[in-house]
Amino acid sequence: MSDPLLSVRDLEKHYPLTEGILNRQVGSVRAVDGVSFDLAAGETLGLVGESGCGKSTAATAALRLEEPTGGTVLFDGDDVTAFDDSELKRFRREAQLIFQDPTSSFDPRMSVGESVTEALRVHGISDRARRRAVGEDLLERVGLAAEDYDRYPHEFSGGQRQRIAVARALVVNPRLVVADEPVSALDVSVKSAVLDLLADLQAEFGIAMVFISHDLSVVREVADRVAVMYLGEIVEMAPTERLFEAPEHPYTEALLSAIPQPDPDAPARTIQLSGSVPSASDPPSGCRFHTRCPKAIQPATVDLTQETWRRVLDARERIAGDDVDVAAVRELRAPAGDDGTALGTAETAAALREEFDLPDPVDDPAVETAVTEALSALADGDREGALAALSETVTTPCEVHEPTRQSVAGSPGHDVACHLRHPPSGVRVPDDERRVGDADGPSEP
Amino acid sequence: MSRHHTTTDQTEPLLRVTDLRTQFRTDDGVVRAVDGVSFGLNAGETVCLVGESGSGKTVTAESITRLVDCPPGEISGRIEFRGEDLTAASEDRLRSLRGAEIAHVFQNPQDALNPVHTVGWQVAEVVQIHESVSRRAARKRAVDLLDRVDIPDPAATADAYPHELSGGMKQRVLVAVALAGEPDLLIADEPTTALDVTIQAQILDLIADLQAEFDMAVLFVTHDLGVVARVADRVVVLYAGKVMERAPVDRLFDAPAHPYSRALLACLPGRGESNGAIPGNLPDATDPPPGCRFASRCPFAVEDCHEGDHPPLAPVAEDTDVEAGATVGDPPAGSAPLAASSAERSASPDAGPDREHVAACLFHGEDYDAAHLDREVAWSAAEGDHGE
Repeated sequence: MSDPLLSVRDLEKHYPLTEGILNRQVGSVRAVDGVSFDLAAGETLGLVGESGCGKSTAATAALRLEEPTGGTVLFDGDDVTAFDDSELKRFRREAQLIFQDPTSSFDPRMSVGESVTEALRVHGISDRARRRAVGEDLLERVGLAAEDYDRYPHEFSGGQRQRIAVARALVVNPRLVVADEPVSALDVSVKSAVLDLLADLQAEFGIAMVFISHDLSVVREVADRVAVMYLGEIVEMAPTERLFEAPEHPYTEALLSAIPQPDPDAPARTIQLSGSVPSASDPPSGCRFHTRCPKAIQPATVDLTQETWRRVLDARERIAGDDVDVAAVRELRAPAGDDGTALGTAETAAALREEFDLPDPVDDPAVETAVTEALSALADGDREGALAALSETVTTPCEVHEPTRQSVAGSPGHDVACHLRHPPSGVRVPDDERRVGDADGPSEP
Repeated sequence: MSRHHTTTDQTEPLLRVTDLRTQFRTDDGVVRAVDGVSFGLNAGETVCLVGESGSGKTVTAESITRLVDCPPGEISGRIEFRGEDLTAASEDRLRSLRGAEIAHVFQNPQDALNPVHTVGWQVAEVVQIHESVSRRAARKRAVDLLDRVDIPDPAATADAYPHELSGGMKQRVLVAVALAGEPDLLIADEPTTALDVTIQAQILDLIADLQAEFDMAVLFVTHDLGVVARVADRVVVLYAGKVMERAPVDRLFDAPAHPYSRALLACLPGRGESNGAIPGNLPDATDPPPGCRFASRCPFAVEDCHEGDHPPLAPVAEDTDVEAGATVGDPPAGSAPLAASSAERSASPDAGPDREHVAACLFHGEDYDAAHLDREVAWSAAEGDHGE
């Protein structure tokens, strides 16, 4: 493969958390934490993930719209992070952005022609007539009329405004366009028109594109490859069809299963994730997804159904996060008119077991012992004791080892960061998670 | 509207909207946001109002309990809720209905909660409005309700302020608020549009569970056909204030009748064929052209489509090959298991208003042949006549 146009390595963007009048740094929000990807000329990379996963920050940091706190970004072989002001200005011309909201990204007091050609003026084209010619030509290119040059943004519909935004991005002949949720605010009938437009122009001008979206069906339409982000990291990257047909990471599976299918006969098979996205200021150890992963691996000593194991882990997460109010649980489970303060340890422990949705007893004797002890300790208000009781048996290898992105056997260009796919030594992968082509799995012709 | 399908049916629908018209007087003229919309909704059923922005779906939903400001809005037509005409109801009467028998959930959970009160207080407030209970009992009910909507640690969350909760949690709180009055009808206006897909799936499941538990009817407003396929029993397709098509959800997706519905479905990623946009724009809402509202964008339009009134809703003939594929009754043993909701759907008999399938298109009327709509056409052919 020829050299990529954009090469991002270990990109980091940490925001400091400060406290007190001296702004002492007490921690950092690791919005983007070691992201690497390559993008070839003319290629489209889809960047997907839930809100807050860092996908927009990754793109703005790669363009140095925000100063990255670590990592390197090579654009056409030059290190973007080392650019001085004039080099950066040149780079800004080559790399353009399209934003989500076509209403707020325009100055309402500038005609669309002025908005579209503003970048030309900034980059030194002072000939007004020439700017106008370029602007009118571009407006026609994106499906509007040359006469629209003198009209104002409020005179256009959302879809038309997004077309104008495309024209504005293309006016400086960029080689890279970052489109941040460009069609999320548009109606379905307009959406596909704008996507078609982007695809046509991209093919015509050979532009590389980073396409950021939370809408996976849109990404499937436009992207050549897709990177899935979770909590500041890329957990899986694959050619688009491959990712949708055969996702490897449990997070990708969950994300794909959540897309409502426009087919009333399609069985709804949503994979429910526990909890919510953890804070990026204190990401979970090991695999960051282990706190929510439905497939978190059981230690070799434990033998439970995966569902029960997940519930036990969820209970531990909530205790660890101090996310369970024992008095409130008492109150809720107590009969009406009673605030539950009279409940004894055993009754409270039973109420807590119910709150955590745990079976009584848990099927694995060692885990059951730990759970009983932990619930009793928690019922007595001893949170530390409860955690200590669980710490011995209730741990998943996923939180111990940090997964790295490794290539998937038999699937070129596909890599995934998951212990199920690349187990560290001593970690037992359940049989139904073994893939064809795994070291000791059956091989396929 | 000439047809009344329900006259032979002894059970009255919970909600029946007949010829609803909601218009707004503005400086530029009268905007007919909703222009003669009719549909019915049975107890325990989910009906989706689907359409693009400007189709009038939200105004339709908000007209039911007169949430639209009047003036400048004017509502006419009949809105019968359990036989009572809400268009004639006093503001007091509507206020006692809202939240009690008819509850609402809106798109943006941030705007719908009061930032200066805890969420538990806000749920308890609704409980106290509808039942005369003590503060203490109301709080207990509020915590129960928060538990019901799967909020972890509900008693502690009751003491949290809205800004401390995520978007998905706030939407759960609003569902709890809506349930506080044990409504018979829930009007949900794009309740998941502002949420991530994973959270959206959770909220949709939650609403479906609660619907089954309380035998609640849901009027679901959305632009997302994926959501429609997932939640709806029946669908009302709106365009420019008019009903274009009413159909059971499986019929809409398997055999859409109106050219607009077909175009909308064709826009969906991954549904093959054209996958193009619909050329042109919505007609002017203050002065719509005569004839079918969709005519100027419709590649099948003939001269008659541009004349007279919007076409009446005509029954859509059951297409034979569709029938073989997806109708009622007897899937062969061992066929792929359907999701619970769609299994229930197929189990219900196809008689009666629940299986009604009508489209407002001349070609489904008596004087034309619907086969005309099956011709291959280039959608771009209709593009010429719009624009400046």
